[in-house]
Amino acid sequence: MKLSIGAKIGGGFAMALAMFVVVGAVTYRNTAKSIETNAWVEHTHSTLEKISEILSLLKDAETGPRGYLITGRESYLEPYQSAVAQIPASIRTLKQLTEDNPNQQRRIEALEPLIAKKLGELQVTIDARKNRGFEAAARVVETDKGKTFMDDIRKIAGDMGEEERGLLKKRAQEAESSARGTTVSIVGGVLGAIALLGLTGFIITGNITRITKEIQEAVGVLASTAVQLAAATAQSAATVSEIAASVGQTTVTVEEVKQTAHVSNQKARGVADAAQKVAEISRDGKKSVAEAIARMGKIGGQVETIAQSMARLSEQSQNIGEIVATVGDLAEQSNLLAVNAAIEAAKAGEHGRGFVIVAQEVKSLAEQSKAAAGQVRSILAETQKAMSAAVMATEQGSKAAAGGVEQSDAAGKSIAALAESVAEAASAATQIAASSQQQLVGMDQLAQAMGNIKTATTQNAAGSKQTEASTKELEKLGRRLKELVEQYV
Amino acid sequence: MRSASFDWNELRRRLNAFQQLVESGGALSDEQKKSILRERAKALARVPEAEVHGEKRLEALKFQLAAETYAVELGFVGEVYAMKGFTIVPCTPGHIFGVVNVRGRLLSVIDIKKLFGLPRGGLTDQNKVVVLHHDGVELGLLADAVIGVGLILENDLQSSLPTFTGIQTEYFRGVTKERTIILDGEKLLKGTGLVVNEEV
Repeated sequence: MKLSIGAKIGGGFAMALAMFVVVGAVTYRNTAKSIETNAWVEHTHSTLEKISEILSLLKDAETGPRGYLITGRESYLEPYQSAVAQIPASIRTLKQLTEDNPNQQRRIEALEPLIAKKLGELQVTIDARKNRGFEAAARVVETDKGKTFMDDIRKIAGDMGEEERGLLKKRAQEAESSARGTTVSIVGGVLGAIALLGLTGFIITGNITRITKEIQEAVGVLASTAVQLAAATAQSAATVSEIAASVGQTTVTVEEVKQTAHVSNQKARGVADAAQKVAEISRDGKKSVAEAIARMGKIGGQVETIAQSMARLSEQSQNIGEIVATVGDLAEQSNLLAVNAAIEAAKAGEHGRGFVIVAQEVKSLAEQSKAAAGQVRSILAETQKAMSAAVMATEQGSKAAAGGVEQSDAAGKSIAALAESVAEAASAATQIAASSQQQLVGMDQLAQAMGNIKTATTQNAAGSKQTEASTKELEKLGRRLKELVEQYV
Repeated sequence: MRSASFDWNELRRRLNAFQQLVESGGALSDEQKKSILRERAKALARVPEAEVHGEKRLEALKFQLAAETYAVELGFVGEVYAMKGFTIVPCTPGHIFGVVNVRGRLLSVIDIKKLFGLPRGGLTDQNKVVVLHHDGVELGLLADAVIGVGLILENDLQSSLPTFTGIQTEYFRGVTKERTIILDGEKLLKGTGLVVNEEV
C-alpha cells in the first residue's frame, strides 16, 4: 500500500483515537447510566425513608395520645399534633416521589384513607378522653379499630417498602453490569489502541529510517551541490560583471554607430540635394549644349563666308599680282627707255645735257617704280602666305566647328547619361537617407535595449550577490541538516 | 570664341584708312609733291664731279654680267634693247648666242660670259641686249641687267689686273676703283675672235 508517512501516522493515530473515542463513548454512556442508576437508587432510598418517616409519624401520632389517655395532660399530645401537621406534607412528597410508579400510587391511594381513618380514630379517642374521660377513651381503644387500621397501614407500607427494595436490587444489578461493561471496554480499547500505536510506530519507524537514509544521501548531494552552486554563482557574478562591462562598451559603440548613422543620413541627404542640383545643372548643360550646337552651326556658316571672302581676296590679290607684274614690266621698259634716252642725250653732246638729267630722273623713277613693284610683289607674297594660312585656319575652323558640333552632341549625350546617372545616384542617396533614418531609429531602439540590458545586468549583479549569500545559507543549511539527520541514523 | 589678344577695332581702323587711301586714288599730297620736286631741283643744280676737278672723264654704259659690273664707252653704244625672242644660229661657236630681230634688223648677239669663262646663269626676261655700233658694224652683247649711264674718271683706271688672262685681257681697257671692268668696244666690234667663218 502506497501511503505517505503523514497518512500512515495520521491513519494510525486516527485509529487509536477512534478506539479511545469508542472507549470514551462507552465509558461515558455507562457512567451516565450509572449516575442515573445511582440517582434512582437514591430516589428509592428517599422513597423508603419517606415511607418509614410516615410510619414513624404515624407511630408518633399513636404514641402521643397514649400518654394523654393515661395522664390527661395535654403536653403528651404534642408529638401527635406535630405528626398530624407533618403527615399530609410527607404523603404529598411520597406521591411526588412515586409519580413514575403506578403500583405505588395505587398503594398510596389505599394508604391515604387508612391513615385518615387511623388519625380520625385517634382524634376520636382523644376527644373521648377530653370530653368523657378515661373510661370512654378506654372503650374506644378497646374496639381495636385503631390497631386494625394500623396493621393495614403497616402491611401496605411493608408492600411499598418491598417494592422499593426490589427496585433497588434491580438497579444495583444494572449498575454492576454497567460498571463491568465499562471496565471491559476500557481494557479492550486501551489494549487495542496500544497494539495499533505500536504497529503504526513500527511501520513509521521503518519508513522514517529508510527515508532518513535517503535524506542523508540527499543532504550530501545538497551539500556538494551547494558548493558547486557557490562556485557557479561566483563565476556567474564574474560573468555578470564582464557582461556589464561589455554592455557599457556596446552602449558606447551603439552611440558611435548612431552618430555615424546620423552623419551618413546627413551626408546622404547632402548627396541627394547635390544630385538634385546636378540634375538642374545638367538640364542647363543640355540647354547650353543645344545652344552651343546652334552657335557652332552659325560659326560654321560664318567660317564658310570667311572662306568665300578669302577666295575672293585670293583672286583679287592674284589680279593685283598681275597688275604689279605689268607695272614691273613697264618700269623695266621705262628704265630701258631712260637708258636709251641717256645714250641719245650723250650722243647729242652739250645740247643733250639737260636731257641727260631728265633721262636720269626718268630712270630713277623707273627704278623706284620697279622697287615699289618689287615691294608690292614681296608684300603680295607675304599676303599670299598670310592668306594661305588664313585659308588653312578657316578650313581648320570649319572642321573645328563641325568637330565642335559633333563634340557638343557627344557632350549632350554625356550630359544626358550623366543626368541619368545622377538621377540614379539621387534615388540611391534618397534610399540611403531613408535607410539611415531607419537605422537611426533602430539604433535608438538598440540603445534603449542596451539601457534595459544594463539595468537588468545591474539587477542581475545584485541578484548574483543575493544568490551568493543564499548559497552560503544553503551550504550552512545543508551542514545543519546533515547534523540533524545524523541524529536519526 | 573671342580672342583677347586680337584687336578687332585696330583692324577695322586700318581697313577704313586703307579704304580712304584707295578712294583717294593713291594721289600724293601737295607737300609730298613739293618735296619730290625740290629733290629733283637739287639734283639738277648739282655740278658733275669731273668738271669740278677738271679731270678727263668718260661716259659709259654700265651693265651686269654674273656678279661683275662691266661698262662700255657710250660712243660705241647704239641702244639698249630688251631681249624678246632670239634665234639660235647653227654652226657657230659657243659664244655666239644667236640672232635677234631689232626693229627689222638682224643682229648677232654674243654671250660674253661664255667668251670670258664666267659662270652662266639661266636666261630670264630681264636679259638685255646692248647694241654696239662703230663704223657700220653692229653687234649685240647679252647682259644680265643694264645698270645705266655713268661717268668714269680715266685717271682712276688701272690698265690691267693680274687675274686677267688670255682673251680677257684682249678686250679689257681697264678696271675702276669700284671694280667696274671697262670693255674696249672697238676691239669687241672688230675682234677677229668674234668673226665667224665656219663651214659645215
